[in-house]
Amino acid sequence: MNVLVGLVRPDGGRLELNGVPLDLARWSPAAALHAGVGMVHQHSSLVPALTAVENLSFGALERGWRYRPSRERKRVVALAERFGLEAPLDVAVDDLSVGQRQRVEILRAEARGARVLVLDEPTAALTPTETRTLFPAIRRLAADGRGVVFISHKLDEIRDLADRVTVLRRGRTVGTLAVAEADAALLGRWMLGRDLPALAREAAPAAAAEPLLEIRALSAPGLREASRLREVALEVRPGEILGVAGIDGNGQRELEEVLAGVRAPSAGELRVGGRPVAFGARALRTARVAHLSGERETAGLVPGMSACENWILKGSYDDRRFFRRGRLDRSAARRVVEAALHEFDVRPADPDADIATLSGGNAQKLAVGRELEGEPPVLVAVNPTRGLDVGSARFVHERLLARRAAGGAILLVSTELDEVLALADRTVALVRGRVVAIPEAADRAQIGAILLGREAA
Amino acid sequence: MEELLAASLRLGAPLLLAALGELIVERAGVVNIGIEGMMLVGAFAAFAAAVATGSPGIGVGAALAAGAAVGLLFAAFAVGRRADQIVVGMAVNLLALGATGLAARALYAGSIPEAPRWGELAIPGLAELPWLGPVLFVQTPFVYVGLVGAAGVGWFLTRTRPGLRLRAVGEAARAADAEGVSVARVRVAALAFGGALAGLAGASLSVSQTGTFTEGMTAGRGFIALAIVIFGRWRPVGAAAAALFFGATTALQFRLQARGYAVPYPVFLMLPYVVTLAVLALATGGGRAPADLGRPYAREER
Repeated sequence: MNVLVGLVRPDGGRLELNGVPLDLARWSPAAALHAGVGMVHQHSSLVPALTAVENLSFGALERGWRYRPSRERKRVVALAERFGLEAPLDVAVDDLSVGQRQRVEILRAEARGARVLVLDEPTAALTPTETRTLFPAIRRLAADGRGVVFISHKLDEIRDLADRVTVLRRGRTVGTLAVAEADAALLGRWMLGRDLPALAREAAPAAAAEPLLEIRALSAPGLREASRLREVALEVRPGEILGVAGIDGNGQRELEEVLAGVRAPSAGELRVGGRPVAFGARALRTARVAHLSGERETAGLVPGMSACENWILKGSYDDRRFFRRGRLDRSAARRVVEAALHEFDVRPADPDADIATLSGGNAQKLAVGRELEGEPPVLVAVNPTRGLDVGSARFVHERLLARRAAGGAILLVSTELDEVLALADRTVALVRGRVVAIPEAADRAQIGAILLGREAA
Repeated sequence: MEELLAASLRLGAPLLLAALGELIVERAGVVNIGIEGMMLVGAFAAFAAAVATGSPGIGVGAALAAGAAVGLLFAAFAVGRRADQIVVGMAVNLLALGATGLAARALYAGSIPEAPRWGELAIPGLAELPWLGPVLFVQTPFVYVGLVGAAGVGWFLTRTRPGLRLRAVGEAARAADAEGVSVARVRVAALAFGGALAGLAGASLSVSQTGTFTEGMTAGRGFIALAIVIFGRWRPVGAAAAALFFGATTALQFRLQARGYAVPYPVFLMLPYVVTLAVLALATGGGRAPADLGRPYAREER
């Protein structure tokens, strides 16, 4: 899709718009804009420090030398009303919610007079409620004569919204169908290249067991006011997955960082297996709290270092298999890691491969393997499948369930509600840094309202 | 008091000019520590041209052109080749120091002539104002350009489309690229402008304040300008206030020296630099640097 908007230049092929072939040798973002191709990226491509109005005003298509804030604002307001895409216009985009940012991005594409609009996984970070307000806006755009490409791995969304569906797998087109003729099993097979059985899950454990992981009255400073942790209390029992649902920016990252030992809490207590543990990376590792992060490139793995080096990073303090009298035993490490790479189906299973050259799915499999090695009693998994393809996500989910079946306590913090609902035994919400209970019988709409803080009172 | 304020402005002007140039460059996402060298080249170009032609005005023009040329040289490496901006900046500083020193010796063979100078220019009418007149309106043209320039840079950044694009490039180069804004073009233009202003700042040292040229005469003022940008939180008004503050410490330093205390004079000379250090140590936090500051941009990355 980056090819379509000019960020990546194609090696070959043809691109036609309204039947007119485009000049691919000179294809660039500016050319794409002129041609009327607009894109809403999965990761916001707005300038965070600028306001919505400013973001809609700096592009290369804007004419005129002067920038007159009030005049530009009127233009944006008119556009927002026309498509039902309201968002705060005068604060830095950085302070908007994901859904609001998305609306601003769609507005921007519209302001450019986009004829083709590409939406890359627009619902990935939205609550069900936000998704429901997005769909009518997309339908209105299509009804207005725009071509809309809607990228999603959620089949029900495709069925709700799309007229036709094309499945891509590993960079190739598998097939195209009218949505009316597409059934879920067929699409699933196309996406995976094989059948996808339902996730097998055994019954929940007895509630009587003592919790393996206890977090009490944990408070910590946040990146923003809304993400400050406020007296978070959580308990996870052996053989249990506790799901923490929530919208990005409500304290997930802060909770993850505290439990990884890289953010100092202002108050609170942590117990593992009944024993108090200090909030520090080393103390947590010694207490065998494993940590699986969706931020592979920045938190989980070190791109630029080999698979082998990444693997032994975890145990670098005192892993006797790899270290003898403080010296790294390279060949022993490579043997161990190579076996593990095969076991966790990392491709290529080459201990010397640079992590940066692995696909997201393979890199995450490596991280999963590393963290689950040695059966840690407690695992903190934060957005463990962010940005993964369906097959790799399934692999991660299966491994989490296997750990649960073996008696591990798993804290699953995820902004993907589907993931939490599919895996967790109990689910709570993280809203503005507080833990909010979710009633057992709540449906998706009710959960969505809780996540938005509508029923917090 | 009036005299001290007027001196603060006069001594702060080169700092302000250089800082305004640096501010534009940094808001476009480039750290230009070569600003010291660009000032030095400007000081020399102004001096040499003024001596050769007898006109300080032509000297100033030469300084602008020479500064911009060094800015473009910096851009060729830091933007064109995506080299590390710190390394390129250091290279520019060393090159400028050596080249101007060599050229001065080759041209003047040990006896540095006196250059014609741009003196104070009283603004008719305003200069007669009580108190304010002598402070603000009997100054060198560099002071006027600096103050008007600060307002102009502020207006440019918030009220013009090119200014908006420049900020977008510094904050999120990739997002700007996706909107069809050429990151390279914006950064090259910013560096040319920043270089020209640094050159102008250098000219104010050689053809206004002193009328002479000595090796390394900028004496770290480029680095103080860098500190001013940070201290002024990447805003022109902040930069103007910070430049005035540093101008005042320099003016005070001269005063203290003149008093003839029984303290070795280098102790007073140190004052502006000690203040720079203290300010940088204390001014951390608050104000946010452009998010893409110091990062070369390449489209294929990701």
